[in-house]
Amino acid sequence: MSKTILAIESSCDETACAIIKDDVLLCNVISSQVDVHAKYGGVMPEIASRLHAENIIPVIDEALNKANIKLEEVDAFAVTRGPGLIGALHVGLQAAKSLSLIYNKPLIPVHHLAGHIYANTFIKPFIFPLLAIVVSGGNSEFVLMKEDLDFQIIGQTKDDAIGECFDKVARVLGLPYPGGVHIDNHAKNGKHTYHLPHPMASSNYDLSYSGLKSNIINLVNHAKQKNEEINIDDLARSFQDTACNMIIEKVKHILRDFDVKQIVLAGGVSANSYLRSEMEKLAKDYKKDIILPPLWATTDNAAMIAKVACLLYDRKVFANLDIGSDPNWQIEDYLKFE
Amino acid sequence: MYDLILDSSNSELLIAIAKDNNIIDRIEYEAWQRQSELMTFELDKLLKRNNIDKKDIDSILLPIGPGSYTGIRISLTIAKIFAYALNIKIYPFSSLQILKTIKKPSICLINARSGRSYIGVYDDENIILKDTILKNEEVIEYINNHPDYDVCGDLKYLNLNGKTNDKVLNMLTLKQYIKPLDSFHIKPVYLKD
Amino acid sequence: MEKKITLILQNEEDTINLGRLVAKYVYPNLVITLTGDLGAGKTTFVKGLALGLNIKEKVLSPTFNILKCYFNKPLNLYHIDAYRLEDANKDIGLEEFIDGDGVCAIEWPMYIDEYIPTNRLEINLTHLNNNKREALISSNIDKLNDLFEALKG
Repeated sequence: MSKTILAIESSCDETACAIIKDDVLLCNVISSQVDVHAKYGGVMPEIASRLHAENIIPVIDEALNKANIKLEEVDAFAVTRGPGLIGALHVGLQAAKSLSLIYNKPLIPVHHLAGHIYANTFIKPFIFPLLAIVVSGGNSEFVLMKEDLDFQIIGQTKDDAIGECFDKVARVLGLPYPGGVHIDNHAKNGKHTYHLPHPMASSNYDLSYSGLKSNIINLVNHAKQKNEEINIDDLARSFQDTACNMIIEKVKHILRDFDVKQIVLAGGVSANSYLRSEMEKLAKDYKKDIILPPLWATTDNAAMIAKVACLLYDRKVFANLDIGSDPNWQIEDYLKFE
Repeated sequence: MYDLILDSSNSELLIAIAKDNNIIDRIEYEAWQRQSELMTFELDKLLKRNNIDKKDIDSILLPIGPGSYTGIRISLTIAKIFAYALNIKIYPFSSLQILKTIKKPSICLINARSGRSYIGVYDDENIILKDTILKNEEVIEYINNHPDYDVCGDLKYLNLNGKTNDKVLNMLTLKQYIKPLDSFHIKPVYLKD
Repeated sequence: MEKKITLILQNEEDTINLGRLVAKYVYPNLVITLTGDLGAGKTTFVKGLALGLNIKEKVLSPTFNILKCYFNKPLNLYHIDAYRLEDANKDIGLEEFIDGDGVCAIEWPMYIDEYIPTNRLEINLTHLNNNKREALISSNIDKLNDLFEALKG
């Protein structure tokens, strides 16, 4: 079915707009605020919201120009409804709703993490059943998919998300924001010399990072008190190994217990070089297909939102104008948004 | 042909349509933390029940602060999209000035919480005190020093009775003094920084 | 008049149950401040509070988002973590939630002290050994006298 979808993403610190026409991505515009938040050591929600409000028109304008599309030609307007930062989400939502109202076209609410998962289909198609490993600043979960838009969370973090852990550890080590990239770089030069405990092995597929985080913070504090040097490369390596190995161990359990043909990585932490290489090895050992998202898809963007929106459009998953955003939206509830 | 008026700069939701300075219809109610859900929905309702084609909207009037940061951004984003799509202009107002009494010097107040108030003092289009924040004690002092001024706004937080005026009427009458802006150049007034 | 009480929490479940108990005595506009080191159980307490308020959503640490809102009937819960505001501009619209219509739990309150009313419920959590924590609970709000009676029991 011929269709033109315009998608808006504003869940965190990137204001983005993308247009897909007849399944072809015509443009993927992103206005990133990363540099602004860097001086605060992390995303400042109020600042993010202000910048979204400033950037929303220029971003949409640029997308339309790049795609050579007029607003009248758009068949549906899609937007990230959640999860994310509440004030930031509001901006994208108002923009999409207003466009839907003015042009009398459907409004499609999209789940941000579903976006990250489907970003992988820009590389190659899904093979079901698949295991999606969603690892970002705000989420860490294992999602089983038996078919398109079928999401079942079989394990998740009980406390901190892995991305948040990376950011906090980076901060404690005095590394700039965004921490993940810097830890990854330091780890490349380091050796796993610090013994960091895994949380107690549990029989289910859940994760836990707050213990690891506390452990590193205590380690660094004790060292400071004793005036001892911390080897940043080695500690980064030790932390990264431990944090990622937790995921790998759980994935091994999942592959033993569930029928999975393909493994898919999604979210900001899927840019981590160690996690990517280990997952590739694992997929090879267990003879599973794997998709590693391209680096541009690991950060927030609207192209992935448009991708999911295309599927939702075909299924006529549309929202009324009185829909609200949901900063805590669970992926299993992606059809629940009234 | 029509002026579209939007306000979610505080806890209220206000949408109105005017033509030649006459208010044709309005929707107005308390909607704290729900403006994001309801503004466009109610706007659609208002336009439909008056058979108004969006293309016939000439301009948008709205207060851009001070007030609730989230609330201001909600109306402003809607206004920007309308302005961009329809190629029309936005008239930005002070959310304090639109509280004033017509033809009477008015102390206009909005609760800024944490023991402070947003305050602006106006005599119709003339500014007596530019929008600022003061501690509530300073505000009470100001009020006591100007007994001949009206005190306008929702003042329950100060245990006072504030005068309530029609914000829409104020925006329509002040419009002639305001420079309209396009969707790329309009910014909210956050004030606290 | 200030009321104080010290409790020993044997494990995580005790911390959650403390939150559940406090939930029975909260009301709109109440501010609860939570102090204590990383890992002391501040967010765990809020988990218990949320359970006590019948909030179905999972409570996760708001360090990343600074503010998490749980819209709930009859009482909204606002969970603030001011950890990242230590060296930052604190003027980010939090007053609407601190001085709002729900109960507001604030971790690392010292970084936004100027926005927090002096009338509050204060909970300080300290690590003892293993999983044990010591909770020091104090408040000058008379309305909470019943809570302190219940805690004694």
